[in-house]
Amino acid sequence: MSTTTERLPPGVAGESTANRIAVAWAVLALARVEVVRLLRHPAVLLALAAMAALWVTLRLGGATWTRFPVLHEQDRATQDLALLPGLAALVAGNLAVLRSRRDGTEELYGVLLLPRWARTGAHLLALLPLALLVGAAAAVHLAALAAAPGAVGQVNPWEVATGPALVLLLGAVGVLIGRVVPSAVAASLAVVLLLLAFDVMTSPVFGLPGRPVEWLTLVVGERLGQEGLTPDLLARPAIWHVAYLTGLALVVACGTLLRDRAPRIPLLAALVAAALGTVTAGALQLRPVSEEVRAARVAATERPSTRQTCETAGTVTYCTFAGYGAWIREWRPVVEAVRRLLPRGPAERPLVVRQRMVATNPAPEDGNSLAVPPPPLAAWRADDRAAGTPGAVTAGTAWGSGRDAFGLAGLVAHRATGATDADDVLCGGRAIVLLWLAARATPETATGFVEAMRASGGDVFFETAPYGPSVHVTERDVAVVQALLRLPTERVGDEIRADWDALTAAKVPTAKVAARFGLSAPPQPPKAERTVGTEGC
Amino acid sequence: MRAHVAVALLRPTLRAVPWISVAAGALLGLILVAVPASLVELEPRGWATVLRLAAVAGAVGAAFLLDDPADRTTVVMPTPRLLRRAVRVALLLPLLALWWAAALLALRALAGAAQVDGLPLAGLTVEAVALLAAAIAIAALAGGTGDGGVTGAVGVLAGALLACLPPRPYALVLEPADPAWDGVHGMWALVIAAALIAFAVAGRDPGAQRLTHVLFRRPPWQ
Repeated sequence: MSTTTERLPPGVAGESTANRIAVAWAVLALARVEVVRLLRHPAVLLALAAMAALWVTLRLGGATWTRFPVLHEQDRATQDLALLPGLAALVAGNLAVLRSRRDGTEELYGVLLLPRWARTGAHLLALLPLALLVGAAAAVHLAALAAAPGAVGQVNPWEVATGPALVLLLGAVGVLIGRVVPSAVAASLAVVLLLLAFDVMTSPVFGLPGRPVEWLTLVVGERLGQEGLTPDLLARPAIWHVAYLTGLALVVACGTLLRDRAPRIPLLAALVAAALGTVTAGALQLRPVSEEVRAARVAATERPSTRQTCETAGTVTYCTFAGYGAWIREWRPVVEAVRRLLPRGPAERPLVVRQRMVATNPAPEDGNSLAVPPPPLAAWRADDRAAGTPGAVTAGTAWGSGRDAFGLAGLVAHRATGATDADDVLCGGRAIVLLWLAARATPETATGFVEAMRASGGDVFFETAPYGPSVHVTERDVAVVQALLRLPTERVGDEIRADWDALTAAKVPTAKVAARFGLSAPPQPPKAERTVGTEGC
Repeated sequence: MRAHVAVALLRPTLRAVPWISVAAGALLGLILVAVPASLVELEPRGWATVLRLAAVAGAVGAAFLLDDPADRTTVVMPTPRLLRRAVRVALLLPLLALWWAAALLALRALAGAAQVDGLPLAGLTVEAVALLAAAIAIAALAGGTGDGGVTGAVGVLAGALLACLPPRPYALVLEPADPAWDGVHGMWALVIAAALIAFAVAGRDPGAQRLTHVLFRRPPWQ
């Protein structure tokens, strides 16, 4: 009797150690075959190729974020792309499970000693190498980004690990669907459903983005009003999110195995443990941002000087948050180019460029508020006075586009022409000189000027602080600047330097400046047609 | 004679088509439209995405149209494979037209005319037709033995996803009111044309002489 039981398949009867080891070896051997088949499945290959192609082409194309990557933002950007191999794993895993049914060999497997759940287990195990591969690809991509000279910030390894966890979860769902619905149409339709879910959940209409509940979805993107934070202020529960996703994958895997009559007791125990872990991790990621981080955000917003290190180059001092020092090398040419165009006095006046950000804390009762508070200008002035750097010019926590360069050049010129933060509309001489300096400084600022013009249909706005008050220059003055830009730089520069005080005095009429350079100013629009605030121009 | 055969094929084909898969895709498509339409208000961009996903769901279901476990036996029939397949498509087309109209009407009825008015429905319909044509054509190309549905479904999914990836100016999936909308829909019309050609080529019988053989056959005297 005992000899007969020992020959029966494990899971049916006869749970001897030798049998268990034999099944484990068989599962591993099967898994090895399935790994190869999964990795060379056309859908998986296509997804991996698309992921790699997107990274490589954007890099070769010189996209801004590849030249000046903010690493603690790029690490989470790998998660969106990991959805591609994730969905491919769902489809390919599902098709692998259904292969025996498609080929009509399901009945033949019935005579094998190896039970059905062991085959399911092999399909589930086969997902691991794909997940590792996706993680490794993301790591290589981030390492390449970190090697760029303009890279700032730091990578959070848990954000990188989220991609592989997604692959595991989606692949396990594919295997489960294959065992529940005996048709390949189900997995494909599940992919369509998931795509809609991703799209709906990330649209603000649904009310999810910005709420803590958002962390129960698969990928959590950037929240409005939280862009450009330094890594220490992000407070994303990335580690708990990885645990949550992995837990979900384990729950799905254990459920699938139990459905295929795997040994009841160990798997039930594993299922319960995975479910408990998922619930715990899921709850932990919903905790509100800690008081220390909230306080640190307020401090970093209102008193940036307390958290910065400064570096002086010539008469200009650059102060950056920890990890952003690499960008001083990028700011210097822009700042110095503007100052080279200035007359001797303003050009030699000491200048401080200070990095600033607006790190808003979501209101405790409702994290969904889309309103971003205005920058604390009074606090910044007080902070500058305390740090002994009054009148510091703001640089942001993003860099790379022409608009960024134009914004910085504009602020340096703004400070040099003697305008103050209170001037939200500039017109006449000051506005024209300021825009000419900013647009003429470097080729990047020139393209930034054109973009700024295009973005607002003729007028130009540039922010004096992130989300802050904009300085508004009207279309009429912009037209004069465009005409000036067509004149030889040497001539315009010499005349601006020679007539600096007369041109940058308050309220110099546009027509007078235009006439000074032999240009004709466009006619003044009738008072009723001018935009709010520009009536006085 | 062919028309006579086609009419005679209608009833048996009606029984042979795997309607459950086709209906599952169509049903999911309708649900994808109806649920957001009755729950939320979206911008034209959001409704375009919803309709596109509904079209993908319909295309995934329709990919299984040509599947037939008996394909290995029907291959010996004198009726050409292209005709047999065309009869299946002819059966499906009016139903799919009704289905797409129902999806658009459901959107209008549930979300309100104001939400739908800005939508370029003609362009979205071209995209939906392209997805359906591509799904069936891929299935036809892969389904030499009557099991191309899986490939067609996965292929159209992958195609739809990959079409979203290229950045401008090569983008194929645009937001409504994009200036390049008309040009891109010329590309989608090309997809339909390519799918039709692929369907015709894939419909050649396995026993038929290969085109290359016919063209480059050795002269009998050699």
